Amino acid sequence: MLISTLDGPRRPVARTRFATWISRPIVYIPALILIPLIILPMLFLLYGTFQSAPPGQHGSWTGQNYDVLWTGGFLTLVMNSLILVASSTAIALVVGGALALALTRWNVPAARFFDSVTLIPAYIPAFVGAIAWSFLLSPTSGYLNTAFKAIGLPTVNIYSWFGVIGVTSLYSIPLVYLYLRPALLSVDRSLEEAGRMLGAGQAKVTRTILFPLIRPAIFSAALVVFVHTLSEFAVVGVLGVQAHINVISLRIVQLTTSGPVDPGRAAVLGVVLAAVSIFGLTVVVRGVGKNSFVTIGARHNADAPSNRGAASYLGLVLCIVYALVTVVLPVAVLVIGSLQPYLSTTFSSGWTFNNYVLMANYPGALTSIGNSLMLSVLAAVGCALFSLILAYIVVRRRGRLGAFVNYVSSAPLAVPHMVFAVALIWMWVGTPFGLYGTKWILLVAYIALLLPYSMRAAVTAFQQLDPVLEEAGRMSGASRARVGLRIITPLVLPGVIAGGTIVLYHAMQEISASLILYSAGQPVIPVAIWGLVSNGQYAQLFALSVVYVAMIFALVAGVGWFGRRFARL
Amino acid sequence: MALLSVRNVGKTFQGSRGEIAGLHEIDLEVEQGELISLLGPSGCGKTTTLRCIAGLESPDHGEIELDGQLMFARKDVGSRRTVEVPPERRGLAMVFQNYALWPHMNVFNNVAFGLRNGRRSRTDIATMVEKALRNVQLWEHRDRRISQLSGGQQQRIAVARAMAPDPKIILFDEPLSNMDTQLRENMRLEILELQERMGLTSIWVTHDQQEALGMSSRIVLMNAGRVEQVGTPTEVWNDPASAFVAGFIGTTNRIAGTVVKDPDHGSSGLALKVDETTTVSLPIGPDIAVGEKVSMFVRTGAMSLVASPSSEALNVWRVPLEVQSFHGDYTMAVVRFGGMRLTVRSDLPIVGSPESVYLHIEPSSIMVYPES
Repeated sequence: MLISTLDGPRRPVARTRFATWISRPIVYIPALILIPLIILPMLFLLYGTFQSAPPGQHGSWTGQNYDVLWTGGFLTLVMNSLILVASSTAIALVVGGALALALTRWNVPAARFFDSVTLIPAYIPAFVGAIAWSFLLSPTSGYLNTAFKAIGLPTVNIYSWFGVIGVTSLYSIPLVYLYLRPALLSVDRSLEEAGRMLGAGQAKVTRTILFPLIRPAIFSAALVVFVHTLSEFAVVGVLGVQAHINVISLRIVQLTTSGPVDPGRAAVLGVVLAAVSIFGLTVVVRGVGKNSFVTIGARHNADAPSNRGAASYLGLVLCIVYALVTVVLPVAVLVIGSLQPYLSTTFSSGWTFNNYVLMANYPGALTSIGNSLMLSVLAAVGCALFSLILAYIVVRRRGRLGAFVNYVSSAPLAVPHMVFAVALIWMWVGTPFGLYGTKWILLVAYIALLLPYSMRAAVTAFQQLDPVLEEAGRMSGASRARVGLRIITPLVLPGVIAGGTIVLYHAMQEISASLILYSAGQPVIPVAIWGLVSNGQYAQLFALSVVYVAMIFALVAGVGWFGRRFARL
Repeated sequence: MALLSVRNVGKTFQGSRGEIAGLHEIDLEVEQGELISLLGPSGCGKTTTLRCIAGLESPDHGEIELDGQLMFARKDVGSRRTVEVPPERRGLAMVFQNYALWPHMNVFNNVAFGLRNGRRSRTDIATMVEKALRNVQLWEHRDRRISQLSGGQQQRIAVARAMAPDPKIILFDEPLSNMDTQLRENMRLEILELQERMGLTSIWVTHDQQEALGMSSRIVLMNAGRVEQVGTPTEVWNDPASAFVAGFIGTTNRIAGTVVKDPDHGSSGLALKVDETTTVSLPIGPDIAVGEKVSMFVRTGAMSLVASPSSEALNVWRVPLEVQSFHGDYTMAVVRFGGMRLTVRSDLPIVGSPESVYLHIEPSSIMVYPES
């Protein structure tokens, strides 16, 4: 699911000689665009680690920036990052695994409904969830804490390790679920049944037969969450600062946006973070091998309706709690907060729409909505078109060019977004045509960082396209262009659109790079929300957050409906 | 002059399992109105040859000429002076094994696709599509989606699509392999009828010899990248040019042995010594000498089993009967002969379950080839 290994329909090499029908140089151009898009920024990042002055200013070569590795509490940063990543991964694995197990094996009532609910948190940005939870469990005035106090329960302080790890884990669970559910579905029931026939109870069968069988998927999921949480900074920024928790990723953002700006040392930290990330992802791709990519839809065993036992209701409780904690409560508090003129846990302040008016008047709020929408849509369309061509190269034109395109277009998955932002600063600041300082540098960052997602979908779409359909087109007398337009494109379009949708909501949620690269007066929504949090302007904050989440849901639903109209083959 | 001329085409490539395979010096000629079959076992190169003719693959060397125009010419692999016409401009059409109909277009558009080259008017296209679809009795289905059609219907659409632009030759790549036997036979007859009525020229790739024998004007037998024999079905059946052809066409038994002088004074004076106790009188004709190691082939239906022998006949032996199975029109029997098992197809039923029968092999039905 991460980087497509090129396991397409196997054809002897002789056949693919035909497939290079775009043998003209035109095919090299999209591949070459990858270089300034992805490779050059990383080179500039490395360059930046050795510069004594910020980009755009004349500096000299120096190794001084690397002193950040043994000063300034770097070790504390590393330890904190490790604690955060390790615990979030562990919790996400356990809870996500339990959810996947519950919804595939334990015959939970309304399983289909909960199955779609499980993925909804993916559409809620983690930092928005963190903000919402800070209002629920703020030590003195949190809505939930007030309720707890009323019943005599101890209050919970969200501004703590518990809060940071908790919220980070919560929003990593969908990732784990996405890996483990198809893996569990593809295990042949007869393997477990054989164990039962030989006298092992259900628990033993699950432990000794089922889990080892899906070990590759567990491993992949763990590493994906690992990489994902390594680059997470916003949750720590919202919930951890008060408790003096700092991690490497947050430090990078601080070094480039606040206080004495130090892009050189930020670059060093970025290189370290990227290296660890790349290492982790390489282990996933190499070490687990081809078996790890369990395809969704492979052999769904007919669910033998087992009796509703204790496990079914346990699963139900788990699903309900999960839905409450990740979706219902956060969204509720945001909506409620947006309708209250001032925070009141006793709801005594009445109801009003005034907050929305305040938000609309807040400088930059409406601009941010417009920018987010425009940049996300452009990024989605750009990635979709780009991956259409690149995926054709990867799947049909194998060999070195195909491998190059495949690896480079997947590489950004391993690069934490804020690190890439720092790299872009080093590349574009001081260059004659002003990309930096405009909102368009955000678009460049989005396309580069999110290309792997649309590539994955596009490559899958092409792998499912039998080359014989193209051959039939050529034998019918159509030129290469016509075959491309009338045969290839309509057939891969559903997959490409699906990829574009993923880019769309990832771009809408993107905060790490946006915070570093946005130019004054041209924010995107996450940046605006961040500012509102920092300034304590809760009225506008609630209103904007509600509008934000509603937009994401609407966009995803809208594109989904649009995409389904194409799939009527 | 031949419509299609393939001269000295060769190609090496890596097969699907990594082995080195190749076409060697393929020479082929196809006349207008013929149905040529490329017949042979899997991996013999027949599909590769077809794809080279189509332009979907590129030979290492050789020439391909269609209707007087050079479609492909190359002296050898590295040569820069190459003539290579792309498939869309060769004026050929192809029917694929899995039909390759486009799922996102309806029947009409599938057939019309090849006609839409910008030079034809919409009315012309509609007329041609109607003609093609009526030829396969599927005009009423022109608005259906491909997924709504059965396998046989899809195959007919594929044929209609190939025929619509009036190609010079239609190439068929094992088009009936995906079908069950009954459907396959019906489709075979339909396509044959279409071929004759429309005066088409076709090249047909198949591994099914019944198909090839029943449909072709001429058969090209291929094995391991080489052409073993080209001939009409009758020629190939009666006069196999090599041991491979003899073993491939029909169901034959193969017996190896050494040539000796014929003790029974058979017509040719030569016999095959199979083992210590068994010799088989050979016919006149094959170019063999005493002492040579050869293989003889005899069709299962060319032998007969009798309860008691007539006195004069050559090549009659009493043999143990091991297995017999009744197939209605005929009976298949397995007998022991010369240390090996022979399969015999007998039109007369074998009465009872005798322990042995008399096997008679008429010398003229024996085909002999030197052991290579």
